[in-house]
Amino acid sequence: MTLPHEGPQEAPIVPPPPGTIADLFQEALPDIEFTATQGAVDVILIVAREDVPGVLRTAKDDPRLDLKYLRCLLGVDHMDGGLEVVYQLYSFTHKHGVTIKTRLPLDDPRVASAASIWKGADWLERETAEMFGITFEGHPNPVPLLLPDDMTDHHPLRKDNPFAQMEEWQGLRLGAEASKAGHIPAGYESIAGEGGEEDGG
Amino acid sequence: MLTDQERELETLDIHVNVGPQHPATHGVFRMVLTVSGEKVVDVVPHIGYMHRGAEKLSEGMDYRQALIYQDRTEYLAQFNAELCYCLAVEKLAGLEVPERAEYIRVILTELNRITSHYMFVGAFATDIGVYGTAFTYAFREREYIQEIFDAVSGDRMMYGYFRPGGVVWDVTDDFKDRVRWVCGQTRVGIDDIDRLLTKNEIFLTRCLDIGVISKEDAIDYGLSGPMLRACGLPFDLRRAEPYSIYDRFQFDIPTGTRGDVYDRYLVRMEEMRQSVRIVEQALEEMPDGPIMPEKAPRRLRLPPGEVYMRTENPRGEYGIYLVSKGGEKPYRLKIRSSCLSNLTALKQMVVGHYVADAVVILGSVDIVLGEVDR
Amino acid sequence: MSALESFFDNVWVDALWRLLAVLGLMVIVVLALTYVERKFIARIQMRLGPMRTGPYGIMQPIADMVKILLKEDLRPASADRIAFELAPFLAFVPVFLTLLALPFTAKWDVRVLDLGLLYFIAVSGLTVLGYVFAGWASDNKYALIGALRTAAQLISYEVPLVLAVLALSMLAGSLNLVDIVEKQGRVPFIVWQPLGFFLFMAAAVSDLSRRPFDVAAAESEVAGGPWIEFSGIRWSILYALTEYTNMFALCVLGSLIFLGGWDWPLGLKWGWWWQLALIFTKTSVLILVVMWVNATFPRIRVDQLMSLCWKLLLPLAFVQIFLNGLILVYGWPDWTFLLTSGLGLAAAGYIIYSVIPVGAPSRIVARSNA
Repeated sequence: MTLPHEGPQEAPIVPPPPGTIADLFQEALPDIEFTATQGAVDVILIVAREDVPGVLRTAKDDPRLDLKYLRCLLGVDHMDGGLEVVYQLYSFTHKHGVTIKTRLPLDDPRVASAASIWKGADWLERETAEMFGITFEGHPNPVPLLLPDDMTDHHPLRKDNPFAQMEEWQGLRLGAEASKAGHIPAGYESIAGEGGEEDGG
Repeated sequence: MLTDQERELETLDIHVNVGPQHPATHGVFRMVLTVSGEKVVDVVPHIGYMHRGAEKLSEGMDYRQALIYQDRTEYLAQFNAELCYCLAVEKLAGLEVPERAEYIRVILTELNRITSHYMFVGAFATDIGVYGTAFTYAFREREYIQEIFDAVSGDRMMYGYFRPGGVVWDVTDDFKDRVRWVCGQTRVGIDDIDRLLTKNEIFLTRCLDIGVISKEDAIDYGLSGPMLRACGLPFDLRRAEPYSIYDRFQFDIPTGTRGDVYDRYLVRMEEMRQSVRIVEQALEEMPDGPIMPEKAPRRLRLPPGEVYMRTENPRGEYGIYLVSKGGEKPYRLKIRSSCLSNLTALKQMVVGHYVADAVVILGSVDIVLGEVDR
Repeated sequence: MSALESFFDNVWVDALWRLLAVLGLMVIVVLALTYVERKFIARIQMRLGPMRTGPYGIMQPIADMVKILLKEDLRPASADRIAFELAPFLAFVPVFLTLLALPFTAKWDVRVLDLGLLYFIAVSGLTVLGYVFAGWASDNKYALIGALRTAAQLISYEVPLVLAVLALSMLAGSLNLVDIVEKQGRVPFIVWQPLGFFLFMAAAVSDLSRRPFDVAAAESEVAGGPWIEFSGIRWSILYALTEYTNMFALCVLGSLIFLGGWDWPLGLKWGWWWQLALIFTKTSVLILVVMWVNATFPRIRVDQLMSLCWKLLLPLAFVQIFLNGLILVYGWPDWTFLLTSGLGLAAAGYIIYSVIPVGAPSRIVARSNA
């Protein structure tokens, strides 16, 4: 028995209203194509992987953008949609922020390193690299940060790296068969059987 | 080629391993110092001893359950972390939070900032070498606040009290009186520690001009919170991008002028006073009413989308990058750790100082290893 | 003369029982100071301290001792065995030897030496050997750094200690401790030599490796320094026994030469119990001051420690000697001692509080949204 489970849905592309930072990027980078969409808080720019170094460099150096502060750098695994690297930037002078995203194909997850642009990107890229198996080209010190140095064979935050036991307990993956096979600890059968229909508090 | 005589005179830099079990590392942090005599010439930080995969685990939980990992990553400012997570979920779900719940959250969050800074002051003084006296002073004051948290949430450490949409149950009846008393007590307590440490001559010689980092470097490294404000940049997310109801309160943003260890200490001391101010204002205005939205869904289902929610935590900018693809589980939950980013600049700050200063500088970063490693 | 008295008149018996008495005194002192330090610092830190073992925890030192004695005596495999096992004794024996030269009342002493003061200073300086042995033999980098710090610190601070004591002996005109006490009469030397007393106490606190000068053991930096690899009985000899006995000996010395020993105040001759009470009180005050400073001050950095010694304490000690010589040669009145030495002390305070910090403390700029 499994939960009603819709497939993953992508968020729709909502063009940001005029006058946002997307227009400034258009101005600063006239010959680079990107898709802009309005996120829940920030404007999200989706750029091609080849354009990433140029876009980031301009974002930091262009006085109209002046995004000197790299808040966050992370990876997302979109399964068939490939891997995604997200840069979250902020400017102290103009008090605006932006999210820049780029997709990498699963079989060739490489992107230029931003460590030469922001010193703070160093560790964040190391973490993203080890967790998703993304290669940041030109990184000064590409060794794992949080994981053991010899753990290069699998990447924990990828979706194909399941945390099997938890999903078994929740009855999502194997459900009743797992219960029969003895994978579910005593006392957890009922939860697995009901598919986690607890009280919602 | 060296002659024999030169080889005899040759000095050797030795590697000194500090941590993961060492009194100065505040947990399971490890750094390998290369020292020439007493001077540090290189430092290699090693982290990850406490990596528990909170981000991955959150992907397997529904939105209500995933909250508890916030307590476990940021285990000194749990309410702040919970608030950030709740705000991220609410932003995506479009939930309206009742007024009373907003005020309860702000009061608890600011009190938590005070307890976290008390922890910093105590541990930092111990790093500098005070024989536990500042530590016990700080912990006595911290305990008063801790008791309120215990009474409100039913737990002393892993509160799990906030919920997307509000808080799980209402506060105790005597909440206002207790918080009011604690506010007065905290002012006294801060002054006590102030008199013990701030103008102490040895404390000054140990802190002044140690671990200086310039404003430009601080921005480049992605430092945040007191580390950034000590460099002279008045950047506080509560003011710059007001979340929750922080735009309703009057408070100052303390900034330093030198960007050294002493400024970080001063900024944190002043922030505690400002937090007391915010709590007092919030107590005055706190209304009665519901603590969860009327039509809170029993099981949260978020529409697809993504949000980077950031809040000003005691240690800096705490961020939750939440990706939803529909359904009732986070598709991806990234925790932007302020400590991790603050720690990035460790090498720049430590190299060239003495071994004893390395410990003090590490203390002034105020790391929480649960948050660094997640 | 009874048989008993003649038995004690025998030189060997006499020496033996005096030694035993000192040994007993030492054990009592260590046990008492363990308890006092824990309780006293606990009160400063708003704690109760030990409360479970006996009323008010007075049996705690016994419990500590039993625990320490029952612990396994560990030695790192890579340690230098001979040096490692020798180190506790090298540290401890000099401290024990200093006790032999200390008079406690006019009559109670093991041996009054004509050069008692010199003997004390000379012998107590040997303790550093034990720490260096311990640090070197442990084959541990923390221990090595700690030992190097100890060596530098103890040898440096020996100099102002000796000079401060030398300045004082110029006044007394003797190095015999009993003579010095009797010379003080109604006005103890602390009144004539406030600067000397300050130098003596600063050097003594450093000699004891206590805060603010405990760079050798600094828990937050070198995690215990030379003591890090020692456990059980060896640790207690190296650390507890040596430290507490040394503290006791230095504080007794301080109360003898600066606070008037058993004579002052009033100069009353009420018998040995009065003399004992006086010296006990004075020693206790000094010990508690050392503990008080230990509990409330942060630790000074090792280079600051050195510059404090060589740039401040040492010149001031020379100044004190020079002033004393000047006054004695020209035969100026006694109050000039107080005046000049007091001025020196004020200068020391001024230098410490204004010159050493590299600059003015930074100002916090608060930005309001009002």
